[in-house]
Amino acid sequence: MRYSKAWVSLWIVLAVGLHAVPIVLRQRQNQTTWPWLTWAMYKDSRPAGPIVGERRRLSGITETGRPVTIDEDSVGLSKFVVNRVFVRPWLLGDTTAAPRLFAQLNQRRRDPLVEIRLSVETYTVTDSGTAVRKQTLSYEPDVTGAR
Amino acid sequence: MKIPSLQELAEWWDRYWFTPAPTVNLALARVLAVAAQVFWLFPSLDEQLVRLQSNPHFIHPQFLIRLVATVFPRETWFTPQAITVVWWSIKALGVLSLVGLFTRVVMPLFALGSWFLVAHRFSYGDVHHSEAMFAFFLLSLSLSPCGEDLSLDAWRKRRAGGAPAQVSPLARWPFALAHLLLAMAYLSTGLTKVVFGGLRWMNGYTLQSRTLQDALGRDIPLGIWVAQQHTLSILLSVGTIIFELGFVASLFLPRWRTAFFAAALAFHVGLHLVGGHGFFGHLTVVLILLICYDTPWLRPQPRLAPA
Repeated sequence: MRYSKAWVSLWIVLAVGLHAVPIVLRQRQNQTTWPWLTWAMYKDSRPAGPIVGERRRLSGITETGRPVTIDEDSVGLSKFVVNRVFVRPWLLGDTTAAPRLFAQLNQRRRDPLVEIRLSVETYTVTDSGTAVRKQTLSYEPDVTGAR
Repeated sequence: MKIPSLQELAEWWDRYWFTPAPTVNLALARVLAVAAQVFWLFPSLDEQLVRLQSNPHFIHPQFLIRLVATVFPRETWFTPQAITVVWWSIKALGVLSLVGLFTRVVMPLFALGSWFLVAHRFSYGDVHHSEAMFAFFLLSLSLSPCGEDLSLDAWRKRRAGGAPAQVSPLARWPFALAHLLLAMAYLSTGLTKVVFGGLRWMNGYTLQSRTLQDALGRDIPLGIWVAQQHTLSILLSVGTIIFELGFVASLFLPRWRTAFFAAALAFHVGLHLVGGHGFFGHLTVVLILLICYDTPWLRPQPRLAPA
């Protein structure tokens, strides 16, 4: 029993104590010490003012003309990574973002995409109510200057 | 103030973690936790395969995956066939753990296997907190005598004329550790909000903004509505800070523990309904603590809270 208690005590110390590792490593976004993580979620605050949120949807047209919704499975990455690596840069005007996403999407498809679309609904909440603005960006590799 | 001697500290440690407790509580926790993992929380095979095949290499490999890949390199061993075999093997170990057959061997393998699958999923660019607490709990259970009751092992032992332990000094610590880790996690989230966000975190706008973004992304009408309610958002922000900073008190108030766990349950259900935050592993741990941790309704307790 003494032997078991010693092993259990070691595990308890490790389970608790190793939580210091991600803090020391100062990894914020890409923590690699799972399940020992820092628990600093949603810590930032914002000042008073209009509340803005976006609903983003990715879709595409395949070579056979079929419209498809692009989800995590089609990209092979989580929606958080897709947002961070492709969608946000695309919205901010990075001209390489859409071609990179296009290439990622088509690498394993039997029915390749010929066009991808990003539709964004922007909700703005103010004291006087909620306003919605819609925009759609599209990318076709063969069309010069497509947005 | 008197500084406690090493002997006194060791006695305190022993009392806190190793107060004898009924094994049936632990066994019920095993059944609930393993059933939740096998039938609900188990990482999807499709997702494992899609991530593996869509990415030529790991993006930010977790330490566990780096460790495994050192011995079994990705190019050779991380193939769709190998991952499929590993996935089904871990699932089978889960079924054996659930019925409690060869629990001492099978359960640690199942827990570590589950760690492997989650860590593999989180090696492609993003990592989430929702599975962490449950992973610790599952591994802790596997290191305890959780197969001494409600198991085929116990049945076999009784049939062979033996008597499975009804009370054990090792039957309580997995609950106490999960409780401590929960308190640490809540305290950490609460403190970082106060330190980095300041009092402004409770101005209502912060929560409205977060909720709107999450609810829009996940199509949650209730969340979109809450995001438009300023006064309600102030109240919810204040409630969140009080809960996260206050939960640590449950470590020192054993009589109120059930109320704290119930509040945690309500907190996570609320987060899910409003923001779509699926902390289901976390929720499962809280629910199991609520049902099994020092609860008198399963069997009389030898001794309740540590002195």
